[in-house]
Amino acid sequence: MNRVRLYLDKALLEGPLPEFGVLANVYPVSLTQEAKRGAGRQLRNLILPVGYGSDTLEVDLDPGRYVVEALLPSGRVVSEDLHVADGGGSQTVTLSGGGSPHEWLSWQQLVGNVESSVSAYQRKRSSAALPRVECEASLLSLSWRSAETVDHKGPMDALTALGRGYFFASPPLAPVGAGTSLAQAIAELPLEFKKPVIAPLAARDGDELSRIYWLEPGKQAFAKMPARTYFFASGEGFASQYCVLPIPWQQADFSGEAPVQVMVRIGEGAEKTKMRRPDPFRLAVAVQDRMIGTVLGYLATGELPAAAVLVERARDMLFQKIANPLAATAGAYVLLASKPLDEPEPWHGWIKNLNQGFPWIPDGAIQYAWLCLQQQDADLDVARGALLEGYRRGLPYFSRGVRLLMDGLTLFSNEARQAGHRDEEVDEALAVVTTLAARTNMRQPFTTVLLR
Amino acid sequence: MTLVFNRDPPGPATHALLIGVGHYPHLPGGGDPNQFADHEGMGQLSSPPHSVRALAEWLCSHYRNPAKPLGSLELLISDRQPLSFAAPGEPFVAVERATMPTMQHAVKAWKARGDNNPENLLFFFFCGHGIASGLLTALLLEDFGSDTNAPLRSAIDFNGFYLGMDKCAARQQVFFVDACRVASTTLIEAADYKGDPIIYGSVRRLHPGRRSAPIYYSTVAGDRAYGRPGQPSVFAEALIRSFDGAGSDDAEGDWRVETDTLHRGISFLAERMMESAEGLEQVPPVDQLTHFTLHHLENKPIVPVSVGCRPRERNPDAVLTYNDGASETQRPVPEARDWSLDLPEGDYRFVARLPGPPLDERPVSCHVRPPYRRVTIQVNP
Repeated sequence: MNRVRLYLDKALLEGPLPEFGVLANVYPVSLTQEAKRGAGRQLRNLILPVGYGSDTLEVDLDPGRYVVEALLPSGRVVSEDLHVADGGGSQTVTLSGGGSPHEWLSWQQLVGNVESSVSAYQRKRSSAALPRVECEASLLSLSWRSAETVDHKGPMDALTALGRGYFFASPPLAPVGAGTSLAQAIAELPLEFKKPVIAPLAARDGDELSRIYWLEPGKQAFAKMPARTYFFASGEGFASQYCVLPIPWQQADFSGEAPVQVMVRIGEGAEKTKMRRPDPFRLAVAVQDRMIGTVLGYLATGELPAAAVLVERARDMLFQKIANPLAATAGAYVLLASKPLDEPEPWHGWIKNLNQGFPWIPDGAIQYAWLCLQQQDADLDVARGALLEGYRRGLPYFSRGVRLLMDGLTLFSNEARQAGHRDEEVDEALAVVTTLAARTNMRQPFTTVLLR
Repeated sequence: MTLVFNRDPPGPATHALLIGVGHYPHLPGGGDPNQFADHEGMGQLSSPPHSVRALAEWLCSHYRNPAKPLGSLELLISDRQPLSFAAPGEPFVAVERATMPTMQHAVKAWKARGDNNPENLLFFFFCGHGIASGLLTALLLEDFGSDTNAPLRSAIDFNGFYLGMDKCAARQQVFFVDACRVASTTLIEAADYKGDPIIYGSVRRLHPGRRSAPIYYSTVAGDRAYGRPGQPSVFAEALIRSFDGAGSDDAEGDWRVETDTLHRGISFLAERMMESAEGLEQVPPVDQLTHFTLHHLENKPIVPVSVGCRPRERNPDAVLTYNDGASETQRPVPEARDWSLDLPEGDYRFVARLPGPPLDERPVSCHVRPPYRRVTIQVNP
C-alpha cells in the first residue's frame, strides 16, 4: 500500500476553506472486471478538501494505475492520471479547480455561478488574438455582526448604477405582481416591515453605498425571530429582482460566522453563467460555509446524489445541535430528495424539530409537510396545515422550498377538486405561490425572484 | 395510439413513450389559415421527428437492461408528412400525430403499462416547442394555437404531469424534455391554467416506496434548445451518444449507464456540439436526480475526448496525434480549437509536435474513461 494525498487546488482569496469540499472518485484502471467489482465501490464518493494543499485527503492504494476524478459543484468533471509504483513513497495528486475571472470571484466560480476563465475562453474560440475574458460583476461580502466587515469588490459605479439595493425585513409572502418598476414592486410588499430599515452603510473604501441599508439587530419585525433580509437590485436594462439573504449564517461546524456573498452580474458577461442568456437573472448568493458551502452548489446544479454524500458525512453536525438552522434546512432538502421515506429514520425527527423550533423558517414547515405526505399512513390534515403554515411564514429561504410549496398545494387543490369542491384556503395560497414560482430562478439555491 | 413495439415480457420491463412535434399548423409556416397571432416567435421545427426516430431506433436496437428489457415503445410524431416506423422484425406502422387527444390517450395507456409492475421503468421523451417561466414548463402539442382564446389547452402542464405520474405503480421513471424553455407571456399571464397535466396528482400515496424519477432538460429555464435542420436535435444526439458511453460507469465491474453519470455525459456533449455555433450555447440541467441503472453497455464505452495545447494559441501550429497502442492517428488539419475525439475507453498516448528547429515533441499518456477526458499538452508559448 502506498499513501496518496488528494486535494482540489483552488485559490480562494478570502474566508474559510471548505473542509467538506467536492466529491471525488478514484478509478483503478488496471484491474479485471471482477476485481473492479470488489474494489470499485471502495474508492467512490470520497470527499476532497479544496484549497492550497494544506489539507488533503489521504488514501492508501495498491501499486497500479488509477484515474482520479472530481465532480465540481458547477457540474464540471476534472481528472488526472495516477501511477502508484511498487514501494514508492507518498504521492500527492492535485486536481485543478480552474481559474476564476477575478480572484475575488473564486468562491462563486467554485459553486458554478461564474464560469472558469478557461471555459469562458473556450466559448470565444477565436483563432486570432487571445480574447480577454470578460466577467463584469460586483460582489458584496456580508457579515451579520459588524457593518465594518461588509466589503465589496468589482466596479463601484456598477453597483451605484443599479439604482437600488435594499436590505429590509419583510416576512410575509406577498403576491409578486407584474410590476413594471422596482418602486411599484416594493410598494406591493408590506410597508410596515420596512420601518426597521436604518442607516446606510459605508463601504470599506469610503464610497457610500447609499442604496444599501442595514437592518439593525434587535429591531426585528417579530420579537423572537431574526429579521428577514433581502437584496434588491434594478437598473437600466436590468430587470428588477430580489433574493433572500441567508443571514446570519453561522458555520455549521461551530467555527464562527460564515461570509455570505451576493454577486450582481452586469453587462454582457452576465449571461455566461448558470443563469444563461437570455435569462435576465443577475443575482447569485453563495455562503462560505466550510461544511455545506459546496452542498449548496450541488443542490443548485441538481447533483443531488453528490450533495447527499456530503450531507450524510455532515449530518450529525448539521442536525444534532443545530448551530445553524438554515444549514440544517439545506441538509434536510437533500435528505428529503434522496433518502427512503417509508420507514422511520432519526432525521425525520430532526425535520419535525426544524419546523417546531424555528418558526421563522418557512422551509421547515414545507419540509415537514412533505415528510408527512411521503409516509405510508400520511396524516393529510397535518400535511395540509404544515404547507399553509409554510406559506404564512413568508418567502422560503430556498428555491427548492418554492417548488415543494407549489407542488404540495397543487396536490391538495387537486384532491379537493376531485372530491367535487374547492379548498379555498389552499387555492388562494396556490395562486400566490404559482405567481412566485413563475418568477423564481431554480438555478440558485436561495430564492431569487424576478419582478416583471 | 402507435405502439411500434410491444413484447410485454413476464417480469419488469421498460415502457417508452416518445413524442416529437415538428409541425405546428397554427404557428407561422404551418399552413393552417387559422394562425395563432401571439406566437412569440415560434414556428416550424425540423429536428423533433428526426430526434424521435433516432431515439426509437436506438431503443429498439441497442437498449440493454437485463432487469427491465424494452417492453413497449409508443410514438407520436407530428411532421409535415405522415410518418411510419418499423421496429426491427416488426411491420411498418403509421405513426399517429401528437395532438392533445392522441397525447391524452397515449399517456394514459403508457401509465397503465407502468401500473402492471412496480419494478417497471417508464421512459418519457418529448421534443418540440416548450415555453417556461421560472418553475413552470408547458410542452406544446401540434394543435397549439388552434383555440386562440385558450392556447394552453393544447399544451401539457409538465409540472402537473410529473406530479401526477407518482400515481403510477412503476417506481422508476425517467423524463427527457427536449424543448425551448423561453419565458412566455402566454404562460406568465395564465397563472391559473398552465396546460393539461393529463394525469392529476394526488396527496394520497397509492404505491409503497419512493419514486425515482429524474428529469433531464435540454436547456435551463429561460433559454432555448437547438435543433439541427434535418437531423436530431443537439440534446437528442447528446443523449444517444451518452447512452453509448459518455454516461456510463463501471462501479459494478461492467459498464452501465447510470442516471447521474448520464447527466454528466449529456452536459459535456451538448457543450461540445454547440462549440461550432458561434455565440450560442445550451446547458442541459437535471432535476430530481436519483441514482439507478438505465442501460448496460455491450462494448467498451465510447468516450468524448478533447485534446489541445496549452497555451492554446499554439494549436494552429501543432500536429496532434494519438496512439492506442496499435496505430497512430493524426489530426487532419490543425485548428485553433481543441481536437474533439470519440475514443473507446482505454490507454492512449497523445502527442503535440510543433515545428522547429528544433522540433518540439510533447507526449502525454493517459487513460480515457467516461464521462469525458480533457487532455492538455503543455508546450512552449
